[in-house]
Amino acid sequence: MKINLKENKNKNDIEILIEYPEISETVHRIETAIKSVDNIVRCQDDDGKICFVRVSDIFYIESVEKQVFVYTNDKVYRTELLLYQFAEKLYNFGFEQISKSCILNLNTMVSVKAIFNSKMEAMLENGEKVIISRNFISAVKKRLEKML
Amino acid sequence: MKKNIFQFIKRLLINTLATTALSIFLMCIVAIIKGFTLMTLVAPFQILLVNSLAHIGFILFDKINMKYKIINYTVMLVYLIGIVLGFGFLFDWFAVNEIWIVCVVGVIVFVLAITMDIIKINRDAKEINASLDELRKRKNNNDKTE
Repeated sequence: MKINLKENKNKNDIEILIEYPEISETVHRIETAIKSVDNIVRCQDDDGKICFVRVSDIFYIESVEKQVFVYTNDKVYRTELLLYQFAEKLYNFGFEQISKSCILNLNTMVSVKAIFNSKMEAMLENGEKVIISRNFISAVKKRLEKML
Repeated sequence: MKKNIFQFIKRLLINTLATTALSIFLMCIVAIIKGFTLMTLVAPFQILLVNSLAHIGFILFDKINMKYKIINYTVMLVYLIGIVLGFGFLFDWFAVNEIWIVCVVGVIVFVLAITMDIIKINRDAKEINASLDELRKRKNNNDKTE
């Protein structure tokens, strides 16, 4: 894959052209990855200040006692969106529901380990661990196979 | 969400039917060893009921996160023995079989089910890790090409 970067002062915005011999899953993934750079989620930080988090920076989203939290590499934000809304909105960005209360960005997953009660523990790039419930394991497996 | 509920019900049905079949098979072996030639028509349904209740109970125990696996397994086993004894007396199973034989069959089914479950989950974890490795390899190759 070749990437050419060209500066053009006449352009008002960044323009990206993807040329490919044949449409494939990789092309779709590149498109999704590029789109995700521009995709942001409106959140609130600890002080209640409104901030915008890039979808590609999100590791996982968790619902705790009716509150939804967005976890990035080293920060946690609160959001007003509901978990199911995230599940729909972020599906094309590599996010998958891994339990009743958590949606994970599969691109941040490093490995998994089987644990008690047929659950799995997923290790993320930042060293955090999240639990994959057994009812969601086959969905994660299928999704990863699709991403290959 | 509906997909997950369907998945949950499907898994519950498969597990219940599998352990019921195993229980009936083991009880048949016990019956043959003891020289019995007949089995009552209601027995398989009684076994199915006990197995269904066992699985429903296990799902409830699943919600309680105990610190040590061994405690969780022990609680599940005590619950299983409890319902086997309770329904055994109710259905009069101990008139033809000794209590310990029925309990041993229950424990064998429990151990086999847990073992199968562990094997399956480990296999799934292996497959997921293989997919993650492959994704990483492709990403690294792409990075090198760039």
